[in-house]
Amino acid sequence: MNLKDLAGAIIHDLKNQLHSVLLEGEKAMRDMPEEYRDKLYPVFARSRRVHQDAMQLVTLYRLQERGNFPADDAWPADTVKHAIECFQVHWPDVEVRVEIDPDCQGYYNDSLMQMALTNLLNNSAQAGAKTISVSAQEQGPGLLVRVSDDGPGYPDDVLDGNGDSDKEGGTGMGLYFTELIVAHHSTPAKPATLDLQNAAGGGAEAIITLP
Amino acid sequence: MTEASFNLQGQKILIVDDLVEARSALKSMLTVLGADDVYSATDGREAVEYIMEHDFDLVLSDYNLGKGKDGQQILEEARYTNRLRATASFVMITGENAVDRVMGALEYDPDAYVTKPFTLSILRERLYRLSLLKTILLPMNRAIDQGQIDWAIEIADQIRVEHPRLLLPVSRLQGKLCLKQERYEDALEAYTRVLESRPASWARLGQAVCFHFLGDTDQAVSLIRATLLDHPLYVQCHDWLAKILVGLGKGEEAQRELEAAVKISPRAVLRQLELGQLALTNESYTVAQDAFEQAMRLARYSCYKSSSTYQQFVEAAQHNLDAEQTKENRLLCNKALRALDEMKQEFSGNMGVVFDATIAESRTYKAIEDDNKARSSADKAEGVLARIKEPTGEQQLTMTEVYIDTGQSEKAVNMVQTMKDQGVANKLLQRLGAIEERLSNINAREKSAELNEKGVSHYERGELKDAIAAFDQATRFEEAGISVLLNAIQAKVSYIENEELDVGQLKDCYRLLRRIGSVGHFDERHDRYQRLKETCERLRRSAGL
Repeated sequence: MNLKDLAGAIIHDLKNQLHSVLLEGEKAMRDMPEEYRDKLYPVFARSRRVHQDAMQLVTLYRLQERGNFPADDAWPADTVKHAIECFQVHWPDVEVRVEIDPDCQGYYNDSLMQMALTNLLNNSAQAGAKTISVSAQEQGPGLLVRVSDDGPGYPDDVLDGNGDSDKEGGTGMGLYFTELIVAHHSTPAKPATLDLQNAAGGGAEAIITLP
Repeated sequence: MTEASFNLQGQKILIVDDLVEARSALKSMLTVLGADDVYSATDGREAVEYIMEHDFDLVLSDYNLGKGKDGQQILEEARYTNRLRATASFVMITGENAVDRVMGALEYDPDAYVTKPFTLSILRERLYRLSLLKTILLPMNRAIDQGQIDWAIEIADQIRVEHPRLLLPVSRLQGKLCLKQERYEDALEAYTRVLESRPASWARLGQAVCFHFLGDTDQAVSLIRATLLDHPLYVQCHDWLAKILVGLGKGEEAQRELEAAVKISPRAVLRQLELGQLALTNESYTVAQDAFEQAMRLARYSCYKSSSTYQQFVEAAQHNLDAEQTKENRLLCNKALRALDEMKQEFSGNMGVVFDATIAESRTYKAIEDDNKARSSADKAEGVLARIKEPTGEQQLTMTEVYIDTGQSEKAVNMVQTMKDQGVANKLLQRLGAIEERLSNINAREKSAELNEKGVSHYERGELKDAIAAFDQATRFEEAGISVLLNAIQAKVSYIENEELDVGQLKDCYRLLRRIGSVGHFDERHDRYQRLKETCERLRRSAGL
């Protein structure tokens, strides 16, 4: 076994252990009096964050190892809702507005897209946004998802394609990961794209186009 | 029904997970969704038992269940036995790293997947979407449950036209049903329709399978290989490729595909068995041994448990054993013997199986050249055979072979005679013929050895003429060994040197030397051969020949 495989195996185990911690924690929180619950909540929220990071690492590892994440019929309304659930554990005060028809349908890997969207939401919140809007529309056989916020917008080097922004919290990593996920949905006929831009009225805007 | 009013009340639900926390978490989620009739199983065996006894509306199973069956095997048994109606749903819960192993099954695919970790709202939405789909598909699934497959295919066409968004799930079902009905052109059409808008791997495999059945094997093979490039862990691709390659007589290539499949998904008993059998035919005994060992282990608690798996494992292992006193040999031999013990125990009520196991035991000892133990197992097998009321011809022949292997040719001869008296079935005649040939060889070798001994004792007493007569008889058997031939030459040479120069005897010596051919330097008989050859040369020169 080489070092890379070993690291992969360890991250995998870490992720599973954290999952158990979360399940146990959730159960304990349900059973305890309210005043303790509030005290424990930050621990729980942090653990979930660490778990999400571990999930991200495992996925990253598999994406690079040419692992296959099969696409299937999926519904952006559901996917976005779950991304928001993950997001709001850490950012309960940021408002997220959703404009998606519940019947709007796409063809993608649900777990991957959820991670990508969670990353974009985290990015906006870390940049200082207070309100984030998410919309999705079918475009022929494809899908267009837009995440826009009222924050300061992307710094120039990000817009220039130098992913490493200097915001704390590893935004660069998040964007890189999101790009990988989007690229994974390319077909031989048409690429999937992630476009970053600053809106005319201010704020950052990320547009995912799936074939 | 809206998502908010979605409710599982009154549905009979089975959840399957080996981890207690996961089970209780899932159960409480379902309770929140209104479920009031929930059963839970901790492993595949229990799950299948429940499915055999109850009519479930919904099964939620984890894919990875630790030991024993996995979720896919539960699904296969449930659908294969028709115990889970087509109108009922099977939802597979998978870890994020197992999704691509689960997605592709053409014949037995779950109705939906949920990827772990999931929350209540994820589960609610997944089940809600599924219930919408199942409602639309209801007339089609009813037709399937009534066995009216062609009608179901027709209904599917209507649904597809009315609900274009359901192209994928409907076409997938349609493809599967058409394959079942051997309507390969129609199946091909369904899969092609999907691929026109979505690059789904299952549709590509579906196309390939259709091409295979329609006779375009090359197209099928290249399509599957291309799919595997994109989707390397798509285990069913390897399975189908193996199946097609076997049909083309490419056993070794097929074996490589199954080896790849087993590497990805090592827990399927049937695949391990298939690999074992293929490897046995290909004489890849190490692969065969590993595959049967896995199959044996996996089948221990399943409906696939069979004595032949144990037997085939031991058969493969015998090929990998030899007389060397190495650790590997010892371990493997013990493993084989343990398997046979288990086989006897597990099937103790079946004397035929106990007989087979005891025979295999004798052959295993024979493989490491432990003749005493091979003989004692043969004796045990004889005892078991005597307790079988009406032994089959196969069993009698097997016993005969083992008699021969353990140096009991007289018993073998008697058994053959008994069988001939009873009358031998046609299909066994070839095997019987081979046994008789072995017996006549042994007989000849024994006779030759007897005459050789006689010659030696005459020679030692200086009765050279008698010695030559005995050796001449001994060498008349084709089976006479080099030592016997050398003895004959030596007797003749001594006679010529001590009694008279008999040219006929000298010519005999040359004939025998030619028959021996050459004797290698490392052969212990080399020096003797060389000496006798030189003596013959000298005698020939002095005779002026």
